[in-house]
Amino acid sequence: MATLSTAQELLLPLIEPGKAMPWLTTKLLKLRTELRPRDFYLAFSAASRFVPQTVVKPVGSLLRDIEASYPNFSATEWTQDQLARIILMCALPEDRNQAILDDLFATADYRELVALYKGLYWLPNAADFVGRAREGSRTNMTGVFDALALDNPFPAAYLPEDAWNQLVLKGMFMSRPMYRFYRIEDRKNPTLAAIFLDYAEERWSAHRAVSPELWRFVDGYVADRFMPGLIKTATEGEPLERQAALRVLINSDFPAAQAWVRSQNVTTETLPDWDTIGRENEVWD
Amino acid sequence: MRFIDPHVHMVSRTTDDYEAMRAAGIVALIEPAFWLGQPRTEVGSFKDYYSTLVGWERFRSSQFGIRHYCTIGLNSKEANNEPLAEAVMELLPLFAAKEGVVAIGEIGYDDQTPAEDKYFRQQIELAKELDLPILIHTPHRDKKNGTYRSMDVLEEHGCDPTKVIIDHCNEETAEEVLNRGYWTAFTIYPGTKMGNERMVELVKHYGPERIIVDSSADWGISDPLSVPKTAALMLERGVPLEHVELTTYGNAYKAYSQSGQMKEEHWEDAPEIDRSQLFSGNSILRGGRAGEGLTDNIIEN
Repeated sequence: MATLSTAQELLLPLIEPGKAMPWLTTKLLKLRTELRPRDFYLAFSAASRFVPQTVVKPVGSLLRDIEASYPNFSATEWTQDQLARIILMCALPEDRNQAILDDLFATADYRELVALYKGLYWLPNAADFVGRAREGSRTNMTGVFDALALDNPFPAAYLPEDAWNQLVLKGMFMSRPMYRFYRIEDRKNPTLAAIFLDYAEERWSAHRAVSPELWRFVDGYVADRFMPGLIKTATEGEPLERQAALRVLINSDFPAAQAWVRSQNVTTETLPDWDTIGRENEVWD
Repeated sequence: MRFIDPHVHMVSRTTDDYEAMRAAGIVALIEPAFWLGQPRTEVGSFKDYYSTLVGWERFRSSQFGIRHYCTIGLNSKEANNEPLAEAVMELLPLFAAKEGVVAIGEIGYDDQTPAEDKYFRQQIELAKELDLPILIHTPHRDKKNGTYRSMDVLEEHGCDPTKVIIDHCNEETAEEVLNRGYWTAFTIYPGTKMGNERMVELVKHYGPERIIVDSSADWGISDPLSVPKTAALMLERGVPLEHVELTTYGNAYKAYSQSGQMKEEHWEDAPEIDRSQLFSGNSILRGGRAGEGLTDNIIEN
């Protein structure tokens, strides 16, 4: 018998032991004995009928073990049926899981898609699913997009820069809370900073607001062409926008930015950090 | 008042319809799988269509504060392309168990051909296997025979009539359908099938028990507000409020909630339209126009 997946080892204890767990273990055993895609699809669908849709909150050593293998786990809500679906998808053998899951992605309902995208990182060959994540970044279903983009360790770990940038841009277009992109700071890059400046200018031309969170992606990449937009935002923006632009200018070692900051009578100690700006922006949205 | 439209093909409708339906009090709707006005030629078209019903359209509807359910099935018209029908039958079990699928349907007869009969029976068996209600489409041509034959076949397969909705009934078929114990649904199509004047008379005549009103609004001339409009006319013509509620909400709820997939709490406890789900990019509620009502002047900027 194949070894149990990490997901199964860590997540099975979170499933309701009375009826749901026996149902799930029976399905898992069947998959291990003889893998028939149809059985897998039916079990995956039926999970929401046989496993409660209640939220679980692991604590203590179990949570530590889970987060050791799935960073940031506790940042989102997980329901039992979602975890059951993830255990099922992780039970598929590596040499066949891509083909089987591709078909499932193509026929999945809304909550199935959420479980699939949240579960990608648990797969032993998660790197093989970059193409699938690119496809997911094109969805217009907010909950499905959030499952892939927000608090999920998969994109930062596996997406190449072009795919990461598309995901982040799409998130901004969909007004998602950007601070919830996991490892956002690690994956910032000059290309993204430049695209976001273009985007800000487009929004201004259309007389539309620019999210204060946009400036986070510019932070660290200030150059001449960024200065007019940053100064405009730091002086004329809404309070949160001003704080965001100021942060970028103060953090920058670009001479023109430093000169501008010196020329202004600004206090720097009280500026909120980026996550705080993101959270406040979400509240006021 | 609040309403359920238990038969409406939203993939063919616009966002204006969704806004009007919500404003008129529709809290939940059921979108039966049907044909698209022209026959599909590839099984992939069915797959994407079913996938739209359980995914995208369900999401689109929720953005307007209306809970969306669907039925999954191979319609009788397209059952006549047998090689294609075989492939579609393979797909159905995958979709029939998805969330929000409240019945197998709409199935039954169109021309009453042997192929239609074959796939009708196979889908009855699928519904029994999954313990799902069945939505029957009765044919427009040779309606009386087609309707009676549908019920004969259902009974031959041992179906419980309280788990079957016979749709597109009219004055000629209603009595037999009611007598045999089925949910008896009427489609209000402006100008064709059933007008709402006729519907009022039917409810007055038969009372509200097991009678369901729906719009079947689709890509043709039809009215997605048929259910609330018929309710208003019933009240105006003196039909008791309780009877109006049963025929435009309660009966449909009772019939389809037998699937275990439809619960009042889905719309009663639902938050108002989740503003965080509204976005201004490449999607539905472009430019943040949520919450705007309809105006009388249709060219107002």
